Amino acid sequence: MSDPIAQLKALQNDRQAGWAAVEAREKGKAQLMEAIGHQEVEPVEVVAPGVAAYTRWVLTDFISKPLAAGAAVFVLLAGGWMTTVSAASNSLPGETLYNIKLVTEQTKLTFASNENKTLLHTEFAQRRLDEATALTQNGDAELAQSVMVEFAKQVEMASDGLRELQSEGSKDTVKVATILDQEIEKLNSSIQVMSTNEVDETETEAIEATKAASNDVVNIMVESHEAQSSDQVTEGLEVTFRGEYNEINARKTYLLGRIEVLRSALSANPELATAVGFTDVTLVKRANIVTNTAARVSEALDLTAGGGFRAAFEILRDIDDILATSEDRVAQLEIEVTSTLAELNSAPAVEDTSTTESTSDSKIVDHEGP
Amino acid sequence: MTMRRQKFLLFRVYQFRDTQAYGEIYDVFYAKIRRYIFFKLPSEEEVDELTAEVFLRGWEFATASKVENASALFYRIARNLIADFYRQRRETLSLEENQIEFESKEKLAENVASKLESAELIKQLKRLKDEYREVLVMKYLNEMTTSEIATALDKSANNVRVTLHRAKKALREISK
Repeated sequence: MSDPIAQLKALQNDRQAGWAAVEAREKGKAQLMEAIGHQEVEPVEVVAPGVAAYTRWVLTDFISKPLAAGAAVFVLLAGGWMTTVSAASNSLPGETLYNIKLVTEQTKLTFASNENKTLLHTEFAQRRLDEATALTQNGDAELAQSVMVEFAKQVEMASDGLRELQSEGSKDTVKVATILDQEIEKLNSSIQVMSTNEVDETETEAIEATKAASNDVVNIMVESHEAQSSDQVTEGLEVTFRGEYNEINARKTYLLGRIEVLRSALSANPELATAVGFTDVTLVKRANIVTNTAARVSEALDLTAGGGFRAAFEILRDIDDILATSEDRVAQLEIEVTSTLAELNSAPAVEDTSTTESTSDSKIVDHEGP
Repeated sequence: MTMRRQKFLLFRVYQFRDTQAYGEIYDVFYAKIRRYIFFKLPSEEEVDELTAEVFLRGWEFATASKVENASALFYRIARNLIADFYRQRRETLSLEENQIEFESKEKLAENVASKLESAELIKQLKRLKDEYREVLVMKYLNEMTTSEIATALDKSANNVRVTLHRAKKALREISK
């Protein structure tokens, strides 16, 4: 046999020596990309890739290393960096490593650029949501509530950060606003996923916080558009408008569906229709209020075509208020129907008991009626 | 890939959760990590599974903390996962297992003469101490420098040089 080392070198592309075909690598890569949420679109660059932010990152890294600030770093050095950070990232309030998690977040913020700070706050907001969900599932509602307060703070800080970028005249304001808008939408979806049947005060506050932040984002984008119209700004506004437009249509459809269920319940149960404090007319009127918003939605769409984004978004806000009022009203009607049905269903059982014990002829007659 | 490019890609991953940047890092390290794991695990299916897990964990870590050296990170994760694998399976590599695996790999050979010789070399490689096999694979199959191997294995460069010298000697002895 020739020199084994030379032979070994020759096995670099041999399957017997662990080489994998390109297809296997590509397949593995595709699976990995899917798992980490890769999307096949050009990512919006927040900051020019190779220059300012990267240089700052390298320099702060060079300076901060000797300082080794913070408990997180100390634990990383002393305790085994990978495991500790990884374990801390899943910790919940009240657990030992939770402080490390928070310190790590603060450290990230310290070294982040102003543009990235804004987005980091949305990342931390999502973490607070995940923590609140876990705490609720563990039965710790009180702690979950306090975490949701922190969630609202993070959302507010994200919004403040964007306002600050705008006041600094940062050229990346619109780009950051576009991304922030998408992140807020994801947070809203997460809130809806974690919500239970009863919407508690904390959840309402969380929704209000994301709504306020979303409004801020839209205002900033509209102001930027009015100050200096550009394809990029217009596109960002169109994307945001389309998102709100779709959400409003989805809410309308859902609301009309709920009204229809109530109407069916009343028509199927005359006793119920008599017992509740409203009639089918009430429901029809409510449905008309919802469907009549269609004309205004079309008006908003037409305005965006002509670049009138401010007016278009104002119309959507008005429709949002109308839908919110209708949603509250329909919820009240649903509660009334449910409780009335429960009373009606429990009434015969009460009558049965009194019939066996009572000597009242009228009740016996009623029970034995045709 | 230069260290500078690697650092930049790691920055993109950490700051922006840039999946495309991570994909580039994957392309560079996939073959090396897979080969490293290949000589440690009994079946190719498990090798591919573990390799995928290495890069998934690598992503989680690189987005949570600043990573200085992707190579060191991946090798460290791989070593931990391999240790976990055997801890769970309660298996140890035996000569008999290596031979069984060798036979199934041999079935893939097309050119009998040269492939048999290669297969024989692989068999001999697997007979070596884990420590020796590791450095030989990294040096001659993955084409890593001594300092890269040292960083990946968390050892000094001198230690790696000595181990490599002994590993080459052992392989030549066993090949006679």
